[in-house]
Amino acid sequence: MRIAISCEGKTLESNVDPRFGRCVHLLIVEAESPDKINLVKVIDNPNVNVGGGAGISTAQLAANENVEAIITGNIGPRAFGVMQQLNIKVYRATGKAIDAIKQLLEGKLEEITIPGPMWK
Amino acid sequence: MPKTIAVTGGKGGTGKSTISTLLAIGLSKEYRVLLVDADADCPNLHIILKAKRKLLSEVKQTIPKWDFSKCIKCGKCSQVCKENAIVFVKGKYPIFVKEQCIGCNACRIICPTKAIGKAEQKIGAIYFSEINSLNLSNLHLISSEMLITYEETSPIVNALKKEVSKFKDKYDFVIIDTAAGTHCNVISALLGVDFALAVTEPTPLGAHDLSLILSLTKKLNIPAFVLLNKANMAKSKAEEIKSIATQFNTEIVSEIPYDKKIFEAYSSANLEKMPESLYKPLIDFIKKK
Repeated sequence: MRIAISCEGKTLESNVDPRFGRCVHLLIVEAESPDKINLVKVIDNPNVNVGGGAGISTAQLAANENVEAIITGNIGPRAFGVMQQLNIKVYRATGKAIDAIKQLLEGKLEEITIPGPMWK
Repeated sequence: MPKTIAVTGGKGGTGKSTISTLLAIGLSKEYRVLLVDADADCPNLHIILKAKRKLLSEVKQTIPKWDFSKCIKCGKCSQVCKENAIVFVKGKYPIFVKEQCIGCNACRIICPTKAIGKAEQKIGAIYFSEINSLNLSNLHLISSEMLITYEETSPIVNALKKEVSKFKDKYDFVIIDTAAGTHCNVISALLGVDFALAVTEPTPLGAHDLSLILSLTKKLNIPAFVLLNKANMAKSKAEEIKSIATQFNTEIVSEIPYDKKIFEAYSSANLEKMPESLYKPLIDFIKKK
C-alpha cells in the first residue's frame, strides 16, 4: 500500500504534521506490513507559504504519487473534495509517523469523512 | 455626470464604512447621492443605514464544463489555471474546484481538443435599497454580496460597477465604499472614479497600509486625498501619516478625532444622529473638488 503522510520532519520518526495543505513535508511510504515499511520519497512541500489554494495544490502533489491513502492531522474542504473525487482515503493521526502507519495497517486509524479541524 | 468618489484606505477598521456613510448622509441633505457598498465579502452599509435590500440582479460567472469523451488527459487546463481551480493527476480526468474559478476562460482557450465548453454558476448578488427608515429620500444604496465559499470578489465588484453605471446619471454624487486591502476587488472598485479618499488612522499599520493604497492610486492615476481618522490617538504617528501624504504629493484634507460618541453611534446604527460639525470640513472639501 502506497501512502502519503504529512510530516513535520523528513524521517518516519518525526511527528505527523497536523496541517495537510501547508504541511512541511510529504513522506511517501510503501507499507506492506508493520515490519515492512519503506520510506520511498521525501517531498519538501512547496505550498507551505502560498497565498491561497495550498490544500488543492498539496492534494494534487500527493495524488500524483499514486497513493491510495493519506495520513494527516486535519484536512480542509477543498483538498478533501479532491481526494474524494480521486477515491483516495484520508486518515487522521497524531504522534510519530511510523506509529501512525502501523496503526493504519492494523485498521486502527480513524478515517476522515468530514473535512475541517479536529474539534477535540 | 455625477462626481464619483471612492472611500478606501488599505487597512481594515480605519473607518471607511463610517466615513462613507457620514459623507453620503451629509451630502444627501443637498444632493442626490448613491452610496455603493463594494465590500462584497462582507457588505454592511445596509445594516448601518437600517435599509431593506431588494434584489436587483444575480451575478453569474462562466465556468468550464468538460466533455470527457474529447479529453485526452493532457493536463494543460490545469497548468494554465492560475487560480488552482483545476487539479490534474496523471492518467485521470481533470478535477474542477468551482469555488476557486474566476471565469477567466484560459482553460477553454488552451484545450487542444476543444473538450471544454461553457457552463454558468451563481457567485453573488447586487441589491438596491431606499433609505426610508431614516427619511433620507435623496440617498440610495446599492450593495454587492458574494456567496460564501467563493474566493475572488472582483468579478462581483465589476458586476456592481456595471449596475451603477446604468443609473448613475440620476445622482449628483456616487460614493463607493471599497473593501480593505489593495487586492483586485479594491482595484475594480477604484477604476474610473474621479478621486479617492484614503481613510487612515495614526497607527503603524495605518501608516504602512496608507503607503500601499497611495502607491496603488498613483499607479492607477487616480487623485487621492487622505482623511486621518481617530486623529488624536498618537501624535507621532499622525506626523508620520502627514509625511506619507506629502511623499505622495497629497494632503490630509480632514481630521476626525477619536470620540467614544462616534463609536456609540456606529455600534447602535445611529450614524445619522452624529453632529454635522464633525464631518463638515470633509463635506466642504468634497463639494469644492
